[in-house]
Amino acid sequence: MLERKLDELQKGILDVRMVPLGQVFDKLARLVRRIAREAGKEIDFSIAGGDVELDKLIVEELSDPLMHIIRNAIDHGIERPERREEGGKVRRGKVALRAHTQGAHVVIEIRDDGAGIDPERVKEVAVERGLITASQADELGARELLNLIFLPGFSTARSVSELSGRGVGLDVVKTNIAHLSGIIDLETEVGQGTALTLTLPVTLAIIRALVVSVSDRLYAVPLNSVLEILSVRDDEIRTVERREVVTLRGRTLPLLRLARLFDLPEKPLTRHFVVVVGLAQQRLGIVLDDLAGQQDIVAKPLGGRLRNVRGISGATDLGNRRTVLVLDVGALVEEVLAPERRVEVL
Amino acid sequence: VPGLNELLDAFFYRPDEDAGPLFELAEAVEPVSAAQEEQPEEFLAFALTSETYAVPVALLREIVKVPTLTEVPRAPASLLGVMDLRGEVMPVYDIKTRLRLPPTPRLARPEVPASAVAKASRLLVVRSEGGDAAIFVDQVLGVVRLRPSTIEPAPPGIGGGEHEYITGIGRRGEALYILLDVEQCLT
Repeated sequence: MLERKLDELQKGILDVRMVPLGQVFDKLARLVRRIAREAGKEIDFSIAGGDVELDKLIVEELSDPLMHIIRNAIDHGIERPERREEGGKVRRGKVALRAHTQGAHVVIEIRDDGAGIDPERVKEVAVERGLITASQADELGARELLNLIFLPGFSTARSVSELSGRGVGLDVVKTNIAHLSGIIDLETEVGQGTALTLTLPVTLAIIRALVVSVSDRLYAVPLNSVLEILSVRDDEIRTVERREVVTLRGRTLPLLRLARLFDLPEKPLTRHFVVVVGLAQQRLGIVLDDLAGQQDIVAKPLGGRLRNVRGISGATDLGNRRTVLVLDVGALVEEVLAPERRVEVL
Repeated sequence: VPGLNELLDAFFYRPDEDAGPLFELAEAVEPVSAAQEEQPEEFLAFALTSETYAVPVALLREIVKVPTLTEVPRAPASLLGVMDLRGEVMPVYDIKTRLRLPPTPRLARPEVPASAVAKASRLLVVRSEGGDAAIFVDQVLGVVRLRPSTIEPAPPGIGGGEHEYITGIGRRGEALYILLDVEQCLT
């Protein structure tokens, strides 16, 4: 009886926390008109899914990154009306903002039918700005080149007048979205347009977690950062520059052996579970021994003396008074993919 | 709803957490002289290996039996692990290496059997500026009252070095109590 009442109470609390995205979308619609006028572009702006509800805390944090993405689409994506006509497109550029629910996630897509992002142009700019060296650039594939636009200090605007002029780039957007345990996906085709997809958890209060085991220790992985789970045989794991990878649908997925990172005694297994996680546009496969199940957890911060422990975001109690640590997926991705981050400092 | 069950769970009394009553050490032995009206201070005496240490009782939150600990990867060696103290995540420290004593077995590791530590061992949950923490001790001996004027400073060469872990040495008859600076031991 008490439990049922508490269930209702909890649901009630969650409901109060949920607000429709429309609040932010309406604000953006007004901004689009102003930005388009300032940039000398003609824009058809469409909105769908304003009734999709999200945690108030997330909605409040979304306004800035969305505004930035849309500003980018108008400033850098959509061509000038004359240019569009020359290219056989209609004068008015399309920018569409759409949201829909997908399980415990909300997917927000910002799509334009503008010029698209040219990986070669990205390469030139990145080298010009000193973000990477020419020889580093030559080693990168098209997708990795596109990822460079998320580095601090990157902007492909060709002239100053075209600049958003706010001194912030997509790196800020990436940081904001990652902070909300969100994932960014970029899809672009030269001449056809660009789509940025943000996948966000519906709420931050109670998180659904995947409980995994490594070397007989349990850890919780927030399910909102898990993209998929693979079963991988030892002989499918290959190395690139001595770093372990697997091929997943034609793409190279870097691996992280949690037991090695945490310096735990490794179990001699021939089959492993790989939990594919994402932070913003980066992907990483975490190699584990076994999956123990899924559970709703209330994650508590480690706080105080343990604030500086790397790779752990908090702890939770699975109901048997045993503390289970919650992996900080974002920090692990950043740590393991550090060589790519080093690119920023060069 | 597991989340709420966990919250409620924290309120239940658990006999296994009860560390038992404390007895006072040599309480009645001290002859009260009229000349010394100095108020004695209370310390909790405990054993680390074969040595006897003590900390001010005022710093103690509680004493609990050693529960199942969770290992924290890549944490300093002095951190034995974390425990769940009625819903609170509490770090558990082994201060023995600070005091040049042999370390406590890493009992948070699944490879280390629970029998590796003595049944008498306890955790002292202490208040501290950097965040409350639990300290592993081999045995709790009891409360001892010491007059501040009878506390000797730590002899040179003992407890010195980079940190002043030892604030002084208290005596009662033959017994020797090494008084610890909790804050320094946890730093």
